[in-house]
Amino acid sequence: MANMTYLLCSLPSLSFAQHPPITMDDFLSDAKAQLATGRFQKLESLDFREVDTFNKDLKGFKDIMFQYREDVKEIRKAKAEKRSPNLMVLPNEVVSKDPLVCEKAIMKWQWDELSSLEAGEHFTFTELLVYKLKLQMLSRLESFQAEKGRQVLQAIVNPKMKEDNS
Amino acid sequence: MAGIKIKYTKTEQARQKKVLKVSLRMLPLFEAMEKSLMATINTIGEKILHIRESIEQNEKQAESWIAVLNDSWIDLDHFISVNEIITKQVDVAGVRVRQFERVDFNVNPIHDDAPLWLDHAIELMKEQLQLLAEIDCLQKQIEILEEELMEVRARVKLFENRRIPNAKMAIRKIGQKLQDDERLTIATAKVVKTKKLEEAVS
Repeated sequence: MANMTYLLCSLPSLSFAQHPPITMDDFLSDAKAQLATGRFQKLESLDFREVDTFNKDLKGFKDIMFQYREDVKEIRKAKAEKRSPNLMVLPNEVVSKDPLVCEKAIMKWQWDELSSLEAGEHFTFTELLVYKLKLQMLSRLESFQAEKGRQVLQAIVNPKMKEDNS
Repeated sequence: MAGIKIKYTKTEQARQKKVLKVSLRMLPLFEAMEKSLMATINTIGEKILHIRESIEQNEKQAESWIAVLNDSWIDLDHFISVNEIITKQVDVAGVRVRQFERVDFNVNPIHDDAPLWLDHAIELMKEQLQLLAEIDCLQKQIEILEEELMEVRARVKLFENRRIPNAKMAIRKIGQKLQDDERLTIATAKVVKTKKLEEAVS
């Protein structure tokens, strides 16, 4: 418990859309030094992209993410049928025409859901798990860069350019 | 004309007249073909410009959200690639070329939890890849038509600068030579006749 408290106190606070104040490697290295092997392995294996593998500590968020999947499915279906989607958990504002605005809105919603999950949790393992998920989100948000996005587009539509660069 | 041996015969004169007649008939056809090829190449060039404008317009429209394509959680390469560019053979200005039909894509299925921007990105990439494939096809058409144009121009020059003037000159020279020969024959005959008459008198 003392180690958990120390670890959580030593970590910089996170806010949405900020530059990640700590790298994932540094975070895991600090966590490895303070946590028992079993807990560290749980933390290390946690990945936002693999919601299905989330354990009971994140059950609330896992359930929300399943409903989110249904909403995403509904948005796609509604788009194909040219109608307004009936959403369960996502706010209607996320269905924006601009894919970047839409994605950021979804991520903000996910961030807020994670924040509500950790509310009331003080120096618990859940708080640490949420920290990792938020750090992953910040890294992802950081990757949204126009110039690099342009390069990705060019590399796919113009494979010769990709070969030249490689 | 230099170096060309002319047979000063009536048969050769007739042959050269035939060459001239055919050349004069063929020249306008090749000139028309040259014009048609040039016009077609220009039209294709303009089409390429229009397609490039569409590509730029698509990029501009995506500019506001292009940053999301670099999403570190998604590998776009995995979702879309070109399987085959479908073309068909057509005649353009009398030349056989491949015309763009469509692009056959390999699109991997999008899972339910895949981000929504992925749908837009795949649509954008499909559109851009189709337009670029069409440009590629049109550029190949231009290459083939330009080769044909060069051949046609060479033929026009051949007719204008060699065949027609050569035939005209050959006809004129043969005509002159034949006339000279005829005059010589007549003169010789007259001399022979005069000599015979003189011998008879004496």
